[in-house]
Amino acid sequence: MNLEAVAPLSDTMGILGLGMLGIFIVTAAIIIVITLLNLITSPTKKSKHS
Amino acid sequence: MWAIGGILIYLAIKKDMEPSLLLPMGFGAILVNIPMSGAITQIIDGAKEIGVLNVLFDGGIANELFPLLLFIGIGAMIDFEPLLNNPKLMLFGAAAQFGIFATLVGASALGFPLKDAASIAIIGAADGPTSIFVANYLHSNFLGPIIIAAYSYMALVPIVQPPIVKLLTTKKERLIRMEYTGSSVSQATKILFPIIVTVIAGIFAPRSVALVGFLMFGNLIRECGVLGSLSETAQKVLANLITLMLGLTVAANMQASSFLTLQTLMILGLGLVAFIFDTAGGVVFGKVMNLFTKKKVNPMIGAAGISAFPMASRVVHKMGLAEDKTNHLLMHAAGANVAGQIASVIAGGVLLSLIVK
Repeated sequence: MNLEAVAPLSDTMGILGLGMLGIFIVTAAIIIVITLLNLITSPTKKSKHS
Repeated sequence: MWAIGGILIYLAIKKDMEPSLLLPMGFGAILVNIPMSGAITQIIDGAKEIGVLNVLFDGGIANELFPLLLFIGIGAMIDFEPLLNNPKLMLFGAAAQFGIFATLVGASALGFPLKDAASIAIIGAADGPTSIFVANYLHSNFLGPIIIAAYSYMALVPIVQPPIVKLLTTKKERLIRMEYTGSSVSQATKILFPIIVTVIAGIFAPRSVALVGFLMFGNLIRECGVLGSLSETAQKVLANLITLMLGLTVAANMQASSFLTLQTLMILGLGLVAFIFDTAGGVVFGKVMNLFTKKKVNPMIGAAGISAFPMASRVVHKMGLAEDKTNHLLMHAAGANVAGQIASVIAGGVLLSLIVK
């Protein structure tokens, strides 16, 4: 993109859509990773047999 | 400009508005606007005399060093535990970046070239170092006004956010309680989190990797458990030193000829628009989320999804208590708030990836 020129509305709306989509994709990846980390690293509870 | 410098110093001292940055900036604004000031580069009798502020600018801001070093300190200050305990709060951080892209559309419509429109839009990151990084990366002509707008609105979060939140939510929504079950996050998760986030952000938005990496490196120092002294130094000495340098150095861009323009006023207005749309993005996302989930969330915590830490979460917490003295939203708001810190950095990287090709 030409950084020195004024971007037309169609371009900036495209950036808006792709930008938010990109952030949500990265966010989703981070959420999955946190969930997996919590599952993997949480101490397993051993049941007590008396 | 002396008057503007005086106003910044007044706001810093009397109103406690980001004093660590606005005070050096205010003083710097006076310093660089003294006729033939030796603090900035001047041409005298055809000879170039280099000013110390320009040396600092070239060595610390032009190469993005200061904002990145500051991120180590910020990373060391942040406790991601509320987010790790409830990862879906990350979504609020993402939604509250809407103001960045909405402002990009607005700034372009007002006639700003793309590099300046994007730099102005990043004020919506509500994150000073990211604003400096992006505006400088794009060689924006408006670095001074952008930084002033970014830090001023961050300080004004308690004034800007509540009316927007109230406008977009009903009393019933503001009374929604959210259960906090206490933390069950392991030390291993806390250590692995900054490393993995850096890798993920680097893969999806490579231009954000310096920002995310330095932020997460600071957090790794904090969480690793063996670098207590370094963590403390990063949080206090490093962050203070860089903030001091940053404030003064930014003033090198606050000469009257380039600052007292109509564009500066427009940038201040667009900065406010960015914060309003950020807040609205987070709150509306919370309302939409409630349409699809059984466990309702208080949509006010969406407002905490902006990066201004910890002001935004405190604002939401206070608003919750104002509606119901027994409704404590702080931990949820803090989770959304630290998510906003990560998301704003990623937003900066995504924005650069989209427009710099």
